[in-house]
Amino acid sequence: MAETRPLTGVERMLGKDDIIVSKTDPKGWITYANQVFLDIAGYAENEVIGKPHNILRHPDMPRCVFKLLWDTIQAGEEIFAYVINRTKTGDHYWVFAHVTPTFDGSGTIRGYHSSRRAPRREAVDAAAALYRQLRQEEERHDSPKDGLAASAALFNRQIVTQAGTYEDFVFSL
Amino acid sequence: MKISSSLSDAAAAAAMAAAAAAATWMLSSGRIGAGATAAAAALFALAAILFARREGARLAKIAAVLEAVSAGDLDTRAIGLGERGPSGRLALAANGVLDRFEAYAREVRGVLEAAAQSRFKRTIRPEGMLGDYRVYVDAINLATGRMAEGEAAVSAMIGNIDKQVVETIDGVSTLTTDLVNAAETMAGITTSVDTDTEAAAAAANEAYASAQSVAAAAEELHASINEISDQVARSSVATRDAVSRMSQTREVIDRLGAAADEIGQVVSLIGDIASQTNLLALNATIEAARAGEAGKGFAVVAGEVKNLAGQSGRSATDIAARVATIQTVVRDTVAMIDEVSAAIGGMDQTTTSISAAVEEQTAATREIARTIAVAAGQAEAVKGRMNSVEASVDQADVAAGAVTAAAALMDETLNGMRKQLTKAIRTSSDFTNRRKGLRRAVMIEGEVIRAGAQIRDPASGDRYPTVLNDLSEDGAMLAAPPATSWPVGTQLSLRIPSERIEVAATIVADSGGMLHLAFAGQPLSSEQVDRISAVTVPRMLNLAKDDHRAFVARIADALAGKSTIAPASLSTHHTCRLGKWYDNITDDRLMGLHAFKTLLEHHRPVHKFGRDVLVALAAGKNDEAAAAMRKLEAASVQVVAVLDQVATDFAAVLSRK
Ligand SMILES: Cc1cc2nc3c(=O)[nH]c(=O)nc-3n(C[C@H](O)[C@H](O)[C@H](O)COP(=O)(O)O)c2cc1C
Repeated sequence: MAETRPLTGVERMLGKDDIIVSKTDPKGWITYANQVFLDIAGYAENEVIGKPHNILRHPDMPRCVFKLLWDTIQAGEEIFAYVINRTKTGDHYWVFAHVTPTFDGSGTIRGYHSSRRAPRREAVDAAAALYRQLRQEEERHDSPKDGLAASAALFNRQIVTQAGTYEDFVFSL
Repeated sequence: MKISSSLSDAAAAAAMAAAAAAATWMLSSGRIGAGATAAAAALFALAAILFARREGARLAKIAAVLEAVSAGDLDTRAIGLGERGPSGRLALAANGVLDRFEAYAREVRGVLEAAAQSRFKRTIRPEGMLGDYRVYVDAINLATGRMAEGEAAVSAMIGNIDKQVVETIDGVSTLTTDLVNAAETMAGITTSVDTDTEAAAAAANEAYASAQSVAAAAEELHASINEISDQVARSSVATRDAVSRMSQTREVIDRLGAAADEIGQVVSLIGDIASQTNLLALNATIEAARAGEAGKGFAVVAGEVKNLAGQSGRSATDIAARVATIQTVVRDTVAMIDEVSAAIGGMDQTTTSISAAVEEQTAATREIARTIAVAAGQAEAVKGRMNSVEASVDQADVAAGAVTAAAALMDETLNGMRKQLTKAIRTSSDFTNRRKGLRRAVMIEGEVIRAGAQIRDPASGDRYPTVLNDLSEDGAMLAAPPATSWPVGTQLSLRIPSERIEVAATIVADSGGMLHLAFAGQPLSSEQVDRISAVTVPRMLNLAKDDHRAFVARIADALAGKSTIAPASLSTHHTCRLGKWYDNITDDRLMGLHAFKTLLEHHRPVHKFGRDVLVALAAGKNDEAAAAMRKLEAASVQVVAVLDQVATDFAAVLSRK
């Protein structure tokens, strides 16, 4: 993370019809961020291009969600996720993200694309509650590896319990 | 992504900004001299030139982006152009168009790919989809909704067909099982009829033989009785002769007696006369003595007479004595003759009764002989009939054997057909085959836990230990929990503790006690699935070997009288662990193995002979049981050999990959 200004607890809201778009290289380094992205996150274009995408990472996000995200997109599949991001100033905002791989002519992944839209409030509340649980699980363990495994297992079970598949779960929120 | 920006562009922007800023500062600082104004004007002119040049370069970049887009590249964007000025706004607008369109296009790709995999819950969220996009999104969502309905209908239909196929085949195979059982029972019956007939024929044979000998004996008896009877008859004639002769003798003797009596009377008359003569002679002598000489002669005569008389008297006494003796003898003789006569009479009676008895016996013997002749005739007839029964029983046996063989073949065919059909239906289209990955045969313990269940409570019925039959990256087939509370659509999590697998899954089908799961979320890795298959298939084959050795041992115990097992309680080649596993294998790698194909025909007899042993034992036919036991042992050795072969061939297939 480029800058670590303290969190303000202030939430910023994405406009109802806005779409945040960003693109990365296969490693997750930002190659494009649209104006909506820059406006809400409070960065200038040249502050984000060439930076890793985790400059937006908010500490409330469980690691297991990003693991699922990367596992999925690296397997060439799309994924939807509710994500809380931090702005340059330490504010935060929630998005409903759709992350997809970009393939070259031979079918290999040459980058990723993410479009994010405004989530419904109830979905944010549900995701926030779940993420709190998962974060707690991750912090309960001494080794990060164990924490990740434990939260991933809990995540799986919660998904199964609430909806069956992750996709159903995301769309049910 | 091609990004249109450049450093020279940034430098030009900086120069332009500096010139404009200087001019503005000069103008606004109030030092408005002519020179200053001229300088400011020159600076403005410079800025204008720089601005125009920069705008031209930026517009060219934006044009290049749009040209790439019109050539089909949606990934490209105009960046580093800022957001101000006509070109900045144009770049923003161009990027905005592309951002929306690409976001929409990626959504469309996602939703259509999901639909292609029958994941119809994946729709396009309408948030952020503006204007015309919204119209397209609604149309797509409507279409996927219809597809979902269609798929549900087809799925239900296929589920139905699947179920019907399974049911029909199960039904038919129950019928064939019944048929096989009936044929086997029939074979059992014919075997026992066969032995019964043989026994009956043998008995009839014996009866016939003994009847023959009895008849012969009776015949002999009859003959000897006849002889006796003849002899008796002859002896009775002789007796009667003797009796009549005796009575004749008696008469003679009686007459003798009477004569003796008469003699006696004459003799006593003589005695009387003699004594009277003696008296007269005495008198005469006396007279003669008186008469003296004249009488002397007379006296002599008288003396003579007296002597004579004395002599006569003595003779008479003598005769009397002798007559008495005769009479005694006669009396004794008579008595004896009487006795003999009586004896003979008795004898006569005895012979009569003997001959009566003999007569009766003869009749009886004759009857016996006749009856025995009839019996022997019947025994012979029975024997003849038994032979024909035996022949037809042999035929029935052959027929039963044929039925059994045919039914077994049918069973195998049906089983094969069932597998083929089920497999065909399940994998015929991507619609029904929810699995993308190859199904690998496995045999591994796992556990299903109902979604939302209190998993810590093992008694809740929401948690069920199971065995997986096949596994692929994105699905599994496993033995269904017995309760009906696990219908299609149930969401659960599948745990395979030994592999540390825990995946979310949905029940997508239920076929004859087997649940088909589709994994939600992360698929398993191909390497892991391959490894589980490679490790657990040999394990299953070993288990099957152990199972069958244990099976043989159990039967042997029953044969040795150490335990009793009801034939009905015995597993069949479909219900034992191997059978269940085998019947549900859809792994082409295994199904293609020759040894695997022959497994059924080697496996079936093991259970059949096991049952034969128990059936024979139950019928008390220990010899048959022992014979079946020997067959069982041989068949078990065969099955073990085939299982080993399957293991070897499977390993070879895996190593070839
Ligand atoms: C196209 C794309 C978009 C992403 N968007 C975000 C995002 O908005 N916020 C975020 O925290 N991480 C995002 N990530 C994930 C990050 O790359 C990173 O994995 C995450 O922030 C966690 O950081 P860490 O891996 O350093 O823990 C995105 C990744 C990709 C490929």
